Amino acid sequence: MAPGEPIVKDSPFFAALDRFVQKAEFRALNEASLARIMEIGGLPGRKHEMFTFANVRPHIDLPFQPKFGMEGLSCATVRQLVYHGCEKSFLVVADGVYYPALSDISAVREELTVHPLAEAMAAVGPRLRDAAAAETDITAAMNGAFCSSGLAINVKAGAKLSAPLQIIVYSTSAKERLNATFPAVTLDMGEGAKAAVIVKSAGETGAYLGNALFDLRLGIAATLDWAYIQADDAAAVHLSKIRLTAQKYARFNGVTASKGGRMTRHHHECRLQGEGAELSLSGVAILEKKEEAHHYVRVHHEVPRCQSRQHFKNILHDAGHSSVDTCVTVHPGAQLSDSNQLVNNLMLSPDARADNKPWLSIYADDVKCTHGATVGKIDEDQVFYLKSRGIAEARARALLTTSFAQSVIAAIPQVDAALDARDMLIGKLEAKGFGVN
Amino acid sequence: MLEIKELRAGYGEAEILKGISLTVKPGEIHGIMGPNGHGKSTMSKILIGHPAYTVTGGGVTFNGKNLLEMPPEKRALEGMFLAYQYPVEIPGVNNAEFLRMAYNEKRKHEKLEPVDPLDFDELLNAKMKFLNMDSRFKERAVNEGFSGGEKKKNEILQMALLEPKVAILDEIDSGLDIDALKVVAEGVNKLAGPGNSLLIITHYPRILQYIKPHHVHVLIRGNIVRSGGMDLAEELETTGYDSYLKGK
Repeated sequence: MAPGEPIVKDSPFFAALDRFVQKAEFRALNEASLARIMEIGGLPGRKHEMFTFANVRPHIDLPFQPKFGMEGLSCATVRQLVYHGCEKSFLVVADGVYYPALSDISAVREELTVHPLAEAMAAVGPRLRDAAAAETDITAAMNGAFCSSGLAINVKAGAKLSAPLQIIVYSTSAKERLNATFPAVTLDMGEGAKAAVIVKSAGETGAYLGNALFDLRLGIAATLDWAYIQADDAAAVHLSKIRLTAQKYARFNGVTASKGGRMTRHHHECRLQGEGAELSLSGVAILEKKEEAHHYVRVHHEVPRCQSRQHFKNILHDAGHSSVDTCVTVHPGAQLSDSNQLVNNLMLSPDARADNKPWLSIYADDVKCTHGATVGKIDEDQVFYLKSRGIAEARARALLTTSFAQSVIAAIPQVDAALDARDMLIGKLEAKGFGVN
Repeated sequence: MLEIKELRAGYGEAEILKGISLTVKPGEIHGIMGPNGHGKSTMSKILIGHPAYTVTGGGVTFNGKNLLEMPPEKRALEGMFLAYQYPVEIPGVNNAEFLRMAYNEKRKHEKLEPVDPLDFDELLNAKMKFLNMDSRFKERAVNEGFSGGEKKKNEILQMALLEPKVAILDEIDSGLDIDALKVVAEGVNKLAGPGNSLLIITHYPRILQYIKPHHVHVLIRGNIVRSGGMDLAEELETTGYDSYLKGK
């Protein structure tokens, strides 16, 4: 691994660390993570292969203030963010802290348990610590270094969640300082459990730094439909790390819709550890101005007969910048692995930039793995076809542009979340004159 | 209805159409025959306004208006239609929504109220039944993953909805098995009437057994070299195009 750039002693990072008051439950995690940051060699620089495309350093090497919890978050604000169908199955994490009083899980209380992370650290602490000690992503290690709160969710074996569970991650912005939050969420799905979870990340207008960790464990034959709606303010920095392990016959179906912003980066580290495990991961972003959204994905086929499907789509306007760096590793002995990776980019401006790096690392000889990427403009043959049916040029272009994103948005199974993602993303296009109606 | 006069046109430097003249009256069915690469598809693309082709001479009037001055969408709204030889696939665009959009554009042009999704669905179901099309094609993306025959049926479905005044069917028989060909031909025949005209472009006479043309033209090297009736198509079935190709 290429070294990061050393953190100098008077850096904002150390200043934040000096002010940071550790909680006893999290001390071991914080210390293991800090040791790991020092071991890796400091903050991520452009020479670090993990950050070649996503230059996060200028966005995190800032005087930030770790913030834990907020006062005065109104029920009305939260209510606006709750999806239809999740009115009695939502959890609120505000400025990194879980607020049971603002949450309502009455519809799914029989099927799962939820605890503030501090109370669950005896159970999940060791695994978070072990993962932190091996963490290669400095931004995720930063989450571990400052983590003092979050959620621990257990879906009982055999349970089928009767309603989708929504996790609202809400951040505040302050003029005098850069609020930074570092929540962690653990989700354990028992054997045969079935759930749909929607994460909605949003916040106040203005700058803030959100750096969240999701540690997802799928037991044997568990199924998780996972939608991640990143709807933060354009001035916000959004970093997420999703660690996933899937046991035998487990299925994960994940869709990430990114509004983008000053810096948005999602890191998925997925380990298929039981035979027959299946993973589907897709992402869509529509970027304008100087917005950025990046996907860094590592999928490990650790055992035979697993399947992974990845599809990312980006629409880039103005000087928008996206990247998808995704690697599928087929471990020795993981025969009959079946994987594909596809990245499609639609470029609407000569100043936009799309970096694509779908690649494979294969250590078995009986596998089927495909990967590909496209970068292009709107297909003129398609435009002409629509025009020759009486549809005006501007409308034809709008239809083709919006429909490019629509296929990934439509993969979000919950209607209200899909509509929200649609409005959030297509709304940006409509404001640019790509209105179909 | 459609009057083509001394039309010359090409693609880049190459002149493909070298002075075609053709008059199509309301209710007429014309068969345009000829071997591949002699200008049949170019003619159809030029008539609907494809930007890749340049008109270098002659003119076309459509219901008294200068067709060549109209942008492609205007030509469509005025009643010009091409059933493509190779319809493009448009992933992500729902077929039924696309059809409704095209249908409502036409209604808007005719100063009629747009049709709402439910009413349109009823209309679409009727048209699809008429063409023996599976209703699942409504929910799929436009032409995406359709077989050759399904794509052709989808073209005729659009023709059935838009009710054009002049429909050009470019090699509508290619890629169709005999049963599908009969269904498509039956559909086209039901759509043909005294108020609209058809141009059937084909290099193979079989389709003309099912859609009987009033006039048949032979297009060789960018020119109509011979015109006649159904008997000309029958003659070509036995003689082929060899004698025309050797002629020059």
